[in-house]
Amino acid sequence: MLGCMSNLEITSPLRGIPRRELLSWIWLVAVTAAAAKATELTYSFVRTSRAAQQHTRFDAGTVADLGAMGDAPQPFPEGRFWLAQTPEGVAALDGVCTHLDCLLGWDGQAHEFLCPCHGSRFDETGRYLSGPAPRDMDRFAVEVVDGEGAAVATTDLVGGSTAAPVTPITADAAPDFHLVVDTGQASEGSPAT
Amino acid sequence: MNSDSARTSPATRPQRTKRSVFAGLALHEVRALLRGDPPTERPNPRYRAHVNSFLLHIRPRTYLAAATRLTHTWFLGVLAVLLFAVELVTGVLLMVFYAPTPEQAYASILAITYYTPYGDLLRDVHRLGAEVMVIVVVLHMARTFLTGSYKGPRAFTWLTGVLLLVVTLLLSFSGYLLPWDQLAYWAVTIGTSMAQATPLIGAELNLLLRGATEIGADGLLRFYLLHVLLLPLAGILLIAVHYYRIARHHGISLPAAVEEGDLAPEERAAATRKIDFLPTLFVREVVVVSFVLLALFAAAHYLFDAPLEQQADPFHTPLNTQAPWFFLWVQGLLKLGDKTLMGVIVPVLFFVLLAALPYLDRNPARCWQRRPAAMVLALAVAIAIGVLSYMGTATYGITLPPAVRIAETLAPEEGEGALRSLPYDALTPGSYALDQPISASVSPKLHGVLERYAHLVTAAAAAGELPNAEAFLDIVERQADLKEATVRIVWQPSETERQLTYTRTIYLHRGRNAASIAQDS
Repeated sequence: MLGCMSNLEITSPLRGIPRRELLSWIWLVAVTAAAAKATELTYSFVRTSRAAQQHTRFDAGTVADLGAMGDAPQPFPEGRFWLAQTPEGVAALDGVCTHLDCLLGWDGQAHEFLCPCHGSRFDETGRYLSGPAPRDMDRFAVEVVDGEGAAVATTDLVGGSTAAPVTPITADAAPDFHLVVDTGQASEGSPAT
Repeated sequence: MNSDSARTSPATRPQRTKRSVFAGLALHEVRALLRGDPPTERPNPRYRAHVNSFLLHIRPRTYLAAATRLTHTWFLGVLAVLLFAVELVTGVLLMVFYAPTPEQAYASILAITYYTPYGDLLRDVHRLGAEVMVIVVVLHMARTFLTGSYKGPRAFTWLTGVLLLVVTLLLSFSGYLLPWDQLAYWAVTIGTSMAQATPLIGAELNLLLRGATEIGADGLLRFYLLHVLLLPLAGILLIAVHYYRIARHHGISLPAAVEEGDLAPEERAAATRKIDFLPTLFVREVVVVSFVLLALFAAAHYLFDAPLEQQADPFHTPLNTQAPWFFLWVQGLLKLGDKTLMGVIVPVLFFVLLAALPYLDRNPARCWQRRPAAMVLALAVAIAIGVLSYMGTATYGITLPPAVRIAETLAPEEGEGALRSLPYDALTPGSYALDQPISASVSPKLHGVLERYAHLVTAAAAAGELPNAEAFLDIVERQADLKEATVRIVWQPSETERQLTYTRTIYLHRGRNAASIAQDS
């Protein structure tokens, strides 16, 4: 095709660079850009997860069902959390080990949480005791709701409170108030010391 | 007979067909070749076969005699390729029935194992072959290291070999999830959480592998695609590069003693004599491949059962969760400390250093006696991997409560244990209190288990772990071919405290050891 145009003077827009070399560079840049775009397309395609994680609000029973301070935490396997009485109030401890995502079990004799995978241990309030886990057990938000569904006490995860203060409520004799745990709102445990 | 007359004469058409099947060799020539006789035609048609046939053209026509000594190569490269081929064939057959969805995967494995003709054997061969392949690949690497064959022109070939080791391990690991049982689910949860600990790209990498924040349908499909497509393709490509370099660039290394040693001229001449691939090496390989295949199938049939635990339960991590044996060293590392350092940086650094070994090791000597530093380092690494693997076992560093520990010995949540290993008919129904004499009607095998149970409880009571312990075993026939076994241990920590009870129930089916569990503590 260029043959019929050979009488035309074709000059490079960048003076001094031979035409063939310029074309080679354009090719190289185009192929690199196409490969980069193809990589990005592939990456974005496979990265997309089909469904976002469903977080649910779990009804964890009434205040009256709560054990006394010092009792074993109550398991809620379907929500992967445990309800524990702590000095600050009731806390929903995330049952997933902070090391590598195994689910913790309860060692009733030692009164501790035990990870079956790598042996990390936590006390009944979720505080790190031993093993390779990097931090205390994470906690979910807890709400205490009255008979009409209005929240009367909540954890304030942003403000740093990770337990809902229920002691004053139980003192007020409102045992039919429900505890609601929101696994969509979590706060990370403090680093192990 | 020349090829022109063969082409024109109709009488020799069958002969021509046979020649084209056997890469230009006549049938009598094939027979002579397999017997190890000299060629029947001139010029030697066996060399022509290397040109005519695709499968033969990738093999060199000749090898150096000493390079193919059994005590030098141990056929480990051939065996690694053989096992890769076995995995491809058995894997494709298993794909006919396997369904990669959380709802169907476990059931399809059960169907393959129990209701498909030879399905059990196929799965056993696939699983055993994968484990033997890891062993063979590691031995192949050890042989190459000990004979110093990774040096000089073979540096890049060693690097492709290390990549093949990584692909082999990843293939085994990605296959681990596919049965969708408890062991698989939690081992892969740990594996992908380790990926998450990678600095900078961890969260993205974890999301890429799992396809969601937790392992589910997307994660299973992704592991399936990795296992059946991406990793085998990577393996085939790497085997091609690895083998091409050996066949076309530098050949199999000569033993160090021949290359560096002080040999008499006639000994050297004998060692570097050329031997033909056809027939000598070909026949040797056919014999080795046949025996290894026979041994693999026999072992899979008589000695090995591919494990299958309970169906994956995302809401319960079983006790004794343990990585596959070839990753126990990583599990041991993980018990030592920070997951980013121990789970990602140390293992990645190990493989990078392994791949870079020929570029770092500047000692030109190949003979092991003249490489003391390399030998000491290799021994140290081998011991470290051994110790770390021991630390990775489920019992190391994880102290179970005593009653749970005893129940795990008799009727573990996952795995076989003392009760499940008994024949179904040996499980004599009855209520057994361990402080009472055992009735004479109890089968001898169950008698042995009861004695062991009593011994464990007595030892724990004597050690003060289970004060005032009483232990029971109840076996009830719930329906035809289904028995329920309950292990119950009762103890009282002190006079003032209340009694504690630990119970574990398992179900035992005739003819299979899969069981469902209820537990209560």
